[in-house]
Amino acid sequence: MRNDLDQDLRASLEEPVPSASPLDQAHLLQHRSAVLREENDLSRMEPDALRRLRILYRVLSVLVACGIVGTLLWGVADLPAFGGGANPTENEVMDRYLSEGMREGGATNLVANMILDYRAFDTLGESHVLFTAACAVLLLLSREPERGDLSRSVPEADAPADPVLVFTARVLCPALLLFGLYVVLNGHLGPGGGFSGGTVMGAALILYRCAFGRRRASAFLSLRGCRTLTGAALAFYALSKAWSFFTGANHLPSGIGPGTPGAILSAGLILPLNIAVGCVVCCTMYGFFALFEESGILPEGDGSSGRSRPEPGSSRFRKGGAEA
Amino acid sequence: MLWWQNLPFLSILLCLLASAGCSLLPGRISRHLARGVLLLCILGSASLTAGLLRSGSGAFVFWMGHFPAPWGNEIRAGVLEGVCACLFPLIMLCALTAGRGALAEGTASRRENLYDAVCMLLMSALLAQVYSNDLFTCYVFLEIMTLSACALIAFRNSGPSLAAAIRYMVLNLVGSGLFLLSLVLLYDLTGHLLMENLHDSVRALAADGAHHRSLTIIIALMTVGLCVKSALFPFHSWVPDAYSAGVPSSNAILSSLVSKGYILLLLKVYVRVFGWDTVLASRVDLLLLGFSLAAVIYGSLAAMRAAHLSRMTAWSSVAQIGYIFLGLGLGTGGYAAAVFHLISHAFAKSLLFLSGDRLREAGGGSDRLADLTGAARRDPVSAVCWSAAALSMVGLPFTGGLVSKLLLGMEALHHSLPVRIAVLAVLALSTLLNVCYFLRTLLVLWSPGREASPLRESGRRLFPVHAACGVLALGVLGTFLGASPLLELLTRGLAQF
Repeated sequence: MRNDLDQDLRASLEEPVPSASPLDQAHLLQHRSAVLREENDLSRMEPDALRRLRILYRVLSVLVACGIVGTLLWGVADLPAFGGGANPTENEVMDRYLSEGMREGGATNLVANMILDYRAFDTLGESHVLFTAACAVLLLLSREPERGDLSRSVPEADAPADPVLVFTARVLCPALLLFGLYVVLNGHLGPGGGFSGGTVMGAALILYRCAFGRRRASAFLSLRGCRTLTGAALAFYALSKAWSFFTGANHLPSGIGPGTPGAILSAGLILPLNIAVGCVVCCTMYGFFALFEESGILPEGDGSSGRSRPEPGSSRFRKGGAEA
Repeated sequence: MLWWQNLPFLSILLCLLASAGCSLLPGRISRHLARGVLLLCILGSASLTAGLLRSGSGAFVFWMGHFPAPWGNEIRAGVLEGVCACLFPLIMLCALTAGRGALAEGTASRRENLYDAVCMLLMSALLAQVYSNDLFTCYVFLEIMTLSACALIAFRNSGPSLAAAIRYMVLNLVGSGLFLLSLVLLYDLTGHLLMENLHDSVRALAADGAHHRSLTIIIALMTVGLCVKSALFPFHSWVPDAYSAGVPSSNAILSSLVSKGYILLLLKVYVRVFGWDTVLASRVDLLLLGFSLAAVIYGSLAAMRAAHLSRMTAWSSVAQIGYIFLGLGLGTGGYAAAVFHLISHAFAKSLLFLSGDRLREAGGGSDRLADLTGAARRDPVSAVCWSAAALSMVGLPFTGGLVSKLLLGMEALHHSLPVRIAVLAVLALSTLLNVCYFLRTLLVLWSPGREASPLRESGRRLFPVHAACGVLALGVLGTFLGASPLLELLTRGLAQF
């Protein structure tokens, strides 16, 4: 009994998940039960007792959640009334953002001033959050050899795609890409910016990939291209901000002025930074989709073995849309 | 502005740049890049600390941009920040050096560069956490820490490590969520995110007695959120899996760096935002004391029952985290003890994980205690390092563990009788329990066992591992021998924190 258990445990600790499915349920269950048996001797428990424990667990979790909700509501009731003119949030910090923002930052979109000029360090961190997520997904899902990103993989059987999807994509993709580009480039003049515009562009690329298949999409932007673009954009962001932090803290002239508010080439670093953030967001979104598709995580298509390619089709598009 | 005052921001941005670089370069180059950058960070932080000490001035603020603080971002560095910023890259450097062999083995080596990229991101987040003077900046980099820690756990890509990573992520996101909620509530009450301004507003609120209820909830939420993330006792359920399922370098980094970063943030929040009096008024200190005392006992008991070396080490971290929180719970006098234990535990725990992995190799690939009989004879260097770390956990002389336990016990003497008795009793009992399970393992390791079979690896391949373990072991010894200067440094750092 004891030996079996250890062998179980060792086998499950050593063995990597077969590439068939990234989260092999049976495998996980086996490991969990082995560990649980070892630590708590649950195997000795009657199934009945186990069931009762489970019910107790559920009841308790609901109770705890209710308790937390109640406490939070009780605390929120004590806060200053929402939108009151004398609230502590209506202070000098907000005043300067509103009154001086355009003069100091140069962008007519005051939010852009705030996130890309006044508090650029936070946004630098925020775009690296996306990068961290992208690295984590890449770590888990990348299977193909680095170099032969696509050229060496099995050629895709060009199955006839759904004509409705192809037509829609043909009409929508250019418009979406252009609109995304506009939102990015217009970020310092009006509502928009790198995060929102990048999302629109990423969605357009995903739509393109759904309609025209992996190969044609990759000719436009491969996974490796995504990585290079993301890395370059982040490096540019970090370097340009390093310059501005360095000059700012040492009270040196940075050589980058706010320009005339309202002009397209104005607001100093905000426009280039918006473009960099747009690249990062777009590549991250599209890269997630491409990685999920290639590793067979998306439910449709038999991409599980990593060799047979999913067929582009209408049902796939629906899933892709949900993903986006 | 003096030249060394630029070093904090440079080290953060260097790590960020290195992460982008590592993700694009092949693994054999990225490892050198990562280690080089870590080395630069250590040197930079050391010169920062030296500069601070030599100039004799207090902490300084550094504008992150062209605007002063409540409007722009800023970072702040003092002696304590400098010491921590030296310690964190040093431990990561040792972990990456010692764990490199195990990293390539079994997993696809072409993902090594991504591992380095994630490590660099984690380092930049830790450094930003250490230096940040703004609560929202802390939150942003907290997210990076959570995600990159998750990636480190899941790196092995096997069933158990994926399961551990998912559990880790769910519980840690709960912790981040609680932290964010309390941050939002706090902003609503004060209208500030900068720590100095927050401190003034909170003090004014506490003096008025206004919004006492929501302030209490805010302190409790922030404390519990960070406790979940650093695995204090009732929120520790993710620890044993997460700390034993990953590759050894991940285990070392997670247990010695990530959880410590959160604890340092909590300390910062207590000192710079709320002030200990406000925390006392909210009675959250009792929560900390109760949880930490329970953690010390529970972690040790669970470690006694563990049959595997890695799980035993993981459970013992639950107990050790308890010690650090005990220092926090004892209030301003206990802060120095908490930070001291944070440092000594960071050395010892990473050493336990890294040399423990070598012992697993020596035990024929299994780290079940029964299979480790005589492992010390096959890999004496690792065994000596492991033993040193174990002795530090117990708190024997010539290890940093003794000093931190002593500091905690002495600080408890300044408190009321029930607290004094509880803390001293728990310290004594836990030392006894630690002796039981660490001594048992030591006996197993050093007893004559099976025929000494030669190790698979040659001495040359093992050299970096042994060197990194040696550096960490020196750290364990150094925290004892250099205890009084280190303590003075910490007290000075805490005074200007």
